[in-house]
Amino acid sequence: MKKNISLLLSALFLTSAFSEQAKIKVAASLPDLASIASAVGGEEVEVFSIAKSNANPHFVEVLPSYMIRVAKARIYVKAGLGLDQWADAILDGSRNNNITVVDASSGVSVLEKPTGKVDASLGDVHPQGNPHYWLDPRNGVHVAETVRDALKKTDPAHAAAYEANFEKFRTGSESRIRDWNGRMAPLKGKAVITYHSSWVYFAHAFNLRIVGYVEPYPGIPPTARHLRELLETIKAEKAELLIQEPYYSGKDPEFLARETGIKVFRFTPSCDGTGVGDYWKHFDDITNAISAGMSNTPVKNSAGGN
Amino acid sequence: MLSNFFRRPRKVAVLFSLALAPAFAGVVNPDLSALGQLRAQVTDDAASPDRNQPTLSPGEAEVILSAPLNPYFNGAFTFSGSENGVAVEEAYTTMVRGLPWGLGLKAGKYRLDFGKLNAAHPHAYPFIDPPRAWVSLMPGGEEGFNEGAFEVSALLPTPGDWASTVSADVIQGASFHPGDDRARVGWLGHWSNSFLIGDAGALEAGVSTATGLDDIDTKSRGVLVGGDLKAKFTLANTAQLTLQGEGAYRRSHKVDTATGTASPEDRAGFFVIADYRHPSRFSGGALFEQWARAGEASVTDRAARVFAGYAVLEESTLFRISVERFMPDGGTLGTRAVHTVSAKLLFSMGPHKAHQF
Repeated sequence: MKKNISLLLSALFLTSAFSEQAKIKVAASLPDLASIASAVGGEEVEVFSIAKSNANPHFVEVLPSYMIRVAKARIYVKAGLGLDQWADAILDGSRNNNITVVDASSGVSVLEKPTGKVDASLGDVHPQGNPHYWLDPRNGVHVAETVRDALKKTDPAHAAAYEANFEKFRTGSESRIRDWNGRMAPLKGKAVITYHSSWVYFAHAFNLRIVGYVEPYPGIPPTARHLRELLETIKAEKAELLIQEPYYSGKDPEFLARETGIKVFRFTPSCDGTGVGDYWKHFDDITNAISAGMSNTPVKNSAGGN
Repeated sequence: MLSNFFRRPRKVAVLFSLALAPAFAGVVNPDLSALGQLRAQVTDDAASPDRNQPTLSPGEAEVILSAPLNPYFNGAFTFSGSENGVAVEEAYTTMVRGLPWGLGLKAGKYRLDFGKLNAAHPHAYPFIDPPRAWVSLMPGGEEGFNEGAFEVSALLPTPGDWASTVSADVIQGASFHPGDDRARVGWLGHWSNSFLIGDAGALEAGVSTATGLDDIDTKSRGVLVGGDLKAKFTLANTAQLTLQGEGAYRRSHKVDTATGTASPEDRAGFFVIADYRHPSRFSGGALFEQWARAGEASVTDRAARVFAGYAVLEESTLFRISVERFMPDGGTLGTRAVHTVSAKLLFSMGPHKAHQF
């Protein structure tokens, strides 16, 4: 009897050890980074994201359950540039000695790097530059490159598969970027207002011109005076679209829309899922919604609710 | 001789550089934060010297430093200062990596992990003052159960998203016998569990126990046992609802100085909180508590509060207000209810904000 129990326990242990080895667990701060890791890791990885697509990525509550998830991971993909400082507490709390932490921003050309002294009088400015880089699909390829290198180092046995998956992601991105550019071409050079400075990379990628923000400073809610000034800017610059995240109040964008006729689009800053292709689907949804909305045709997708 | 030494600037510079060189190697500044406050209060408490008079006080200011000490250890210091002086509220190090089997170490002076509320800094309380039940039951009273201690903890191997941590602390023990210059060590144990409720939120539950000598001469040992439950729900548009409750039982001893004998007193109490946080700027809630009074264990006091908070711009400037009705249940305090209105403006600089609960 004793022998049987010990055999059963050994089998259970081996099964669990085998399944642990079967897939490399990759944790990511954001769903976008997780989706890219899914694409590059393919069958060899199991991926999860800490932040949800509809959450403000600046503020994520550190929960012990996140630590236990990260405790079982081999790679952690951080957004970097000071966006996900909460990830450090999760990593510390995970007590994982074998995890490789990857900064996904490392291969990216960073926009809005502040010059001169940075302090809170400028609002919630990130000293290393604007951290919302994944909203430029070209940066997705840089992130994929960083993830590929980390996976090859962690799991050299499947290096060829990671290399092939990366190539597939790169070429897939390139062809889709051509489609998205085509869809957004009529809006080239158009003036745009955004609520927070999260859409700087998106505007850069699709040649939109950000002429104002609903927030007077990053992270600081608007004042009546700022909204009056913004009204003038919208009129002077002939801005026709305003992009905001669903977690910000819709009151002020709706006021601006009433006063100027500007069209308000609400998009989550991250994709809704961590699977292969979810990162691309987010751009599909956003570019579809904007192009349909701006040509006064019914909106097909709203990527988080319009 | 000293003046001669300082007349040789080159030699001083060389010596200073030799002394400082190792300290500068790879070292960067720690995260530095400071919190200040202004507090206003009016109460009809007959025992207060300021009864029915509005009062204004600067309260406590805090300076918080935190940083990795090296690749394996983090360090944190919290200094609190008021008109009465400066005190070290916390100074501890934690070993965050390098140990096997999910083990962790913590050493120094810190707010002990007895339940959820005690470990949190009071500036995070949306209801301004700590619950009266906890002030009455916790060793350390108003300052919280906060001592020099050494902790070993383990992250248990649990399935799925269930996070389970068990910790054991050797504590200074002085909170059990305040007023005695001698100190005898005590013990504390805590088992905490956390579960994700899908995307809707998280549930945390724990049990704690602590023991220490209430009186060193008679060796009368006090015991504290508690349970905590906290549920946090994410509602539409990132609003949050937190429901939290904690209960504790304490056996303490009072020594009759004439006979030198210790007599035990058994007391229990609890508090429950509901705190709603509207996206980023507004919050509001209620607190109810009940406890057996110290020294009059047969008397059960109650108190209820409603509270609200407003982030003036974002979390660096917070305004909080609370209205409390304290309902003593006889004994030396009588049965007349006491009403207190408290307001607090919290302002902070640096990464450690006057954060929400």
